[in-house]
Amino acid sequence: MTAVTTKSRGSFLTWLKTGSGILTAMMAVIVIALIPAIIQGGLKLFLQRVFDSLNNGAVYAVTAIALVIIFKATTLINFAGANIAMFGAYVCWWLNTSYGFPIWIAVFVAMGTMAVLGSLIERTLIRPFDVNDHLPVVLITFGIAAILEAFAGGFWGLEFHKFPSPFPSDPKDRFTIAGAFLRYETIGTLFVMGLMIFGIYLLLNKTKVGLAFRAVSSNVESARLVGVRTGRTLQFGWALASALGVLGACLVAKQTNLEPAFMAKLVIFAFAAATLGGLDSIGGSVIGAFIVAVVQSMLTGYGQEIPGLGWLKSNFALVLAFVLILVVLLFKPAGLYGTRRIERV
Amino acid sequence: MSELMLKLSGVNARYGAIQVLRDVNLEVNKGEVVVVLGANGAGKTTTLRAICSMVTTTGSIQIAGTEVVGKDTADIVRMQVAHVPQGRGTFPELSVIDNLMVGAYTRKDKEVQADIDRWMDAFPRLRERRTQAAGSLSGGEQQMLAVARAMMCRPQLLLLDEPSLGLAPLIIEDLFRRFGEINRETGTTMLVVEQNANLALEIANRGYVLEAGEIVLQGSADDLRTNEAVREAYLGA
Amino acid sequence: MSGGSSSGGDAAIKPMFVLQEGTSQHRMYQAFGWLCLAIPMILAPYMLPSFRVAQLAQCAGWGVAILGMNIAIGWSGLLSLGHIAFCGMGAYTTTILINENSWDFWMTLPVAFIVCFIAGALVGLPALKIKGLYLALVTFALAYTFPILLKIEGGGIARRTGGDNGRNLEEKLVPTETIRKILFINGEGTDESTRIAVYKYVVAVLVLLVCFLIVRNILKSRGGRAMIALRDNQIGAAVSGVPLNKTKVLAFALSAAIAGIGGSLIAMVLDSVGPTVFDANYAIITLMGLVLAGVGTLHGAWLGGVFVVFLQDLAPRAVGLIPVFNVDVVYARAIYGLMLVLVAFFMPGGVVSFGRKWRARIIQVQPKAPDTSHLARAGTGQAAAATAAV
Ligand SMILES: Nc1ncnc2c1ncn2[C@@H]1O[C@H](COP(=O)(O)OP(=O)(O)OP(=O)(O)O)[C@@H](O)[C@H]1O
Ligand SMILES: [Mg+2]
Repeated sequence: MTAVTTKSRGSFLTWLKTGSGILTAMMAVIVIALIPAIIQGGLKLFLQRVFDSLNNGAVYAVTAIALVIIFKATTLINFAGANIAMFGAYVCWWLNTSYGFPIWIAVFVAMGTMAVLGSLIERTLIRPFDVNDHLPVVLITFGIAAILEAFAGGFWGLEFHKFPSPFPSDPKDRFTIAGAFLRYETIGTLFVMGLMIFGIYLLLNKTKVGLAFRAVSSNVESARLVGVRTGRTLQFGWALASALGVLGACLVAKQTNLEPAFMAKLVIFAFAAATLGGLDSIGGSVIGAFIVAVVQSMLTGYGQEIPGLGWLKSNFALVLAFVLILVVLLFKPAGLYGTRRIERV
Repeated sequence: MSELMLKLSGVNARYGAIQVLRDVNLEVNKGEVVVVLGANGAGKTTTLRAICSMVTTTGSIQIAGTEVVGKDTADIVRMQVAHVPQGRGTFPELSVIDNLMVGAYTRKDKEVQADIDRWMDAFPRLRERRTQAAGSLSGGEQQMLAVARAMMCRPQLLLLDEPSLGLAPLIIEDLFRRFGEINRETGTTMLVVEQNANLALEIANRGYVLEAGEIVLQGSADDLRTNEAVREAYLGA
Repeated sequence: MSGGSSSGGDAAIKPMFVLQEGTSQHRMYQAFGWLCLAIPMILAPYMLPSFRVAQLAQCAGWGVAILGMNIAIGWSGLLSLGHIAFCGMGAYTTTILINENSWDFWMTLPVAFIVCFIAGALVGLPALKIKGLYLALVTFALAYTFPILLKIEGGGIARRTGGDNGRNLEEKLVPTETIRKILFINGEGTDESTRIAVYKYVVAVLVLLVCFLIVRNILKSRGGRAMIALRDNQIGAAVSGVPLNKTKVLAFALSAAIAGIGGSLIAMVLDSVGPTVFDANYAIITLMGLVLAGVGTLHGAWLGGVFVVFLQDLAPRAVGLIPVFNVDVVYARAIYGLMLVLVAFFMPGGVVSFGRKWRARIIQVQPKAPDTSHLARAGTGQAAAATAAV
């Protein structure tokens, strides 16, 4: 809403306060801060950092979208989402390695399975509760997360498993741009993500079930009054989010390897991405995801090269994501592109 | 004796432990416009919500002869009942067009687009703003949108909850003139809850007065207009 | 769901005994209740083997932590999943002060309190600005981040925290001669490890008792009532003059501080700290302890720690009894998860509320008739219930 009113005024300061303004300012700050390192490290290294971040960005984006879909529909945060995705990735790996399913078939079957599980969870465990009563829902999603993690460990062991790559992943499968390597895997991940976002766009904007979903997100009471079966719509949202989560998990599992907590570790970045972009904005959370990924890659990558930042080890990225969440909440609680008024009463 | 569109008999409704409606009996004939008057908190909104099964209800509510108490709201809407709730109930994040599309959610025929055009003709302001988010419309425009959206399901019964709330007098008059037109042109039966008794009684055939959850008075629009108690309480005379 | 819904239903059932509040019978009944709690707690260390006593001391430590969590989750309605991090901060503060600065254990408690209070305010300030589940999200992230924070190598952090390995306390808590006499642990029949266990138990229980009384009084105070009013009706509370943001942040910081004291106790009892005691897994276990014991019930503090410690013992064994599973410790996690789900469905007030409902069928305490003004001030039903039950 602010974007609409400020556009007409067009003054620089008001523009700065909009999502795009803040975004640009942030990018500028990051670039300026990194100039010494970029000069020192050269274009090749810089490009390599950017390429490295793309893969993560895509995965964070997919996971964040899964979060946003459930938040939009119910204003709930699904703490089980990461582990539903994790479990799906295990199912995919299991089908592929034990039963010889082709990898993409395995991915789709896993997505379908977890979509069914997600909708069952909504129907049986979430719907009986009032959405405005947050404690039971948090307990339940937190509980489901624990159960899934335990079962994954119980069925498939706590050790790391190598996940088959859904894309050509030979070390030679890459382009070289200005000396930096862009792997086919990265391109594939980006492509799948783009396809998925386009698919979601079509689903939400061009289909009847999408219309119902947007209506429920916007105003549940009125949605019911025009004949939308809100329960089923929410179930659809959970199924969609679960399937997406699984896709994200399968895209990233090649790099992280499978273990029961692998998605739970990543989900903080997805949280950060979604908070940054706006928890109710799909596009925003995609942008947020790439910002988080780029910043993560730059900081950890250049950590060594900037004097005094040698202690920025890769696991520090998690701390960074956490701090980012806090900072966003402090200064722009709705996120860069969040539309709904989520600030408190 | 014309056919009954809506018949409430012995309806009680409650929010948790708070009983709001007590033994409400109300009838609306096909093609009629009936108005419900009452003070704040009398239970007018609750009556409309009871019809749409959005509040715990006992008793009997029949829409075109079918019992609906205990049915799912979505199923009642599929009997071509449209409800414009108090405070308009548009979808603020959705565009005007999408709001109208949602209104036709239960329809399966091919004439949805034609109907959208029709209601945009009726409310040209909506056409001007068709891609704008409903939340950024003015109050009057939102009310028009809410009515147009309700008409999108081609209702046989239209429930209107205080459509005049928060609107300028001129706009209210225009809106009520539209209601009259809609009723005459499409034969849509209407049950209107209204504080603005003057205007409402002008387009209504009959009316009910609700007080503390009970029907205390009913009669033809003319009877009510001349009734001493009604004049004092609702017509400001 | 978690509100004071029990009061309505109870009225229908006729209790066997009805006591008037303030009468001598009522006082005797209260004393009896306290005795039932106190006698086993006093006798336990002398009757049980030393490892059980040590476990009970841990229970007291986790009990304090859960008391702290309850201030946020139970009484203020601030859904936090990350209090385990504040526990950890308390534990590490104590450890570092003892190891690096040779402080005595008791001197570290106020510092742990202050450190965690500030940390709580820092996390709470941004997260509480927004309604809904943001706090849960931020604190969940905190629970995941905390063990990693400990391993940061810059600023000497990892050196002081011991990184992955954690640290042992260099100076353990050992009773002095006088204390040995007072606690009857200077005799011949016991060995030194038992004596130390008993001493630690006594210290932990005393700290728990002090925290319990402090929290009880805070809940009865103006600030406490404001807190509860805020949970039950934000808008209403704001309209009647409760400063929203201040109350929330203070409540959250206080709850973090008390959780921190719990962490200090745990460090003291275990004689060590490590990142795996204060990670996301323990976030689940403590949350489970809290909801099982009773969200928004003071007496949950006694029980919560017991659940945390003993369910970790029992859950793997219980899993072992299920024939279809291989005996596998990982499934214990599933039991914690299942508990969370089941409690949400069937026992939203936890064991304490459940017990209270049954007790109401036997004994009912009628509040003093003339003094309704203070009850009205106490606000919500649950506040009245919480205070009346003490
Ligand atoms: N969701 C609810 N929960 C509890 N009580 C409610 C709820 N909604 C309405 N009530 C109560 O029911 C009574 C009737 O409310 P209702 O909304 O039907 O009144 P109304 O006649 O439409 O009033 P107004 O003219 O102000 O819209 C009021 O006393 C109100 O407090
Ligand atoms: Mg009303």
